[in-house]
Amino acid sequence: MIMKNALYLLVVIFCLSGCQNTSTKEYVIDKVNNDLAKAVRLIYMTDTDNSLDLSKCHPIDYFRTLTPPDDFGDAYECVAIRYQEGLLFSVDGSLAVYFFDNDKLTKNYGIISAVPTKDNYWLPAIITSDGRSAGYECIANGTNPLYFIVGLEQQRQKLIEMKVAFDPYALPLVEPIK
Amino acid sequence: MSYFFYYMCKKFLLTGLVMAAVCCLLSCNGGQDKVLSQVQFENYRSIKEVAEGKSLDRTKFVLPKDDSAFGKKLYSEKTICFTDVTSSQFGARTCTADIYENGVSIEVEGHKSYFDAAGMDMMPKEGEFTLTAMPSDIPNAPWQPAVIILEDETDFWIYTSLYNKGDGAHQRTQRVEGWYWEYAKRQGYKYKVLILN
Repeated sequence: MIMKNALYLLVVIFCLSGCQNTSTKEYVIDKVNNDLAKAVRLIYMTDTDNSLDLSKCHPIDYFRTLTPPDDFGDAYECVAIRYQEGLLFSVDGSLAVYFFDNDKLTKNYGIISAVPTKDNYWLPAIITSDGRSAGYECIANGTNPLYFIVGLEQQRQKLIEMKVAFDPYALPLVEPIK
Repeated sequence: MSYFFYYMCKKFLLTGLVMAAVCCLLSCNGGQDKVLSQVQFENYRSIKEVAEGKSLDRTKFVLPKDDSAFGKKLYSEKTICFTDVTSSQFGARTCTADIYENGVSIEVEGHKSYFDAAGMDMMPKEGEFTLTAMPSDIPNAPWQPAVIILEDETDFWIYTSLYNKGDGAHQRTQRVEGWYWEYAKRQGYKYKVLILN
């Protein structure tokens, strides 16, 4: 009887603990859903003619980052989902959602964000940081190498506007708001 | 009796806990499928193909032939616009814009073109911003609807095309410098800022 009760409790604890740290995931899914509803372009980068069925893809990681600031100093929020099959992302205000097959990426690991093209489209990028600046490396296959280096201080104002406090699960590359 | 009460309470509690766990599991795993399963993406092989606008190619635009589907006409305004500075006949022109409930028309040099609201980035509202025209690459529309913006701390204005909803790559701009306005004055145009008298 004791064993049976303990088993019940273990199941409950296990299940509840599995729901921890999902705030980024939930936020990203909500945001992507919202962006999909507003989007006027859903862009699938692939070498196949097959249509994309996201319900058959396997999500791995969820990201919420800032893009490099534009000429006016404005950074935009980027949400991304890494799948086993590729990468989905959207940038706030762009009215487009992108999915890049793995074949269309030079790599599919690291922290995902996006960088702009001169035509006002967005390409996937990975970010690294030394604590003072963030480096964006474009990971779209077949494009010329594209890098951006951004002082994190530049992005602070955007974070204040977004009312985002530092959260390693939310915006991994930005300093805490003090 | 007390043993029965204790037994029922324990059963009730355990059942509740198990149900909570099951609900939690379902909510944790259901998000992805629920949200992202029914969307139709367009296939592209390169970002160049995207930027060239496979589906939003302006050279394939078919504009309305008249205003019959535009609903009630709301107001009209006359503004000053300019041909392309590189064209052989550079000069100022008069643009007459009619704003309807579901579209706009632009008339310059006797050529009138119609643009449905569905293709407009934004529809003008009286007193909010002024609709004018700029040279166009859309078939059968030598002029397209535009909005004008004064660049801060500079002496030039930017005409920005409006009939490119959701297609930023094909948004066109025309830089209008100070001497354009002087040139227009010499041609006899009388205007207050953008609006013709």
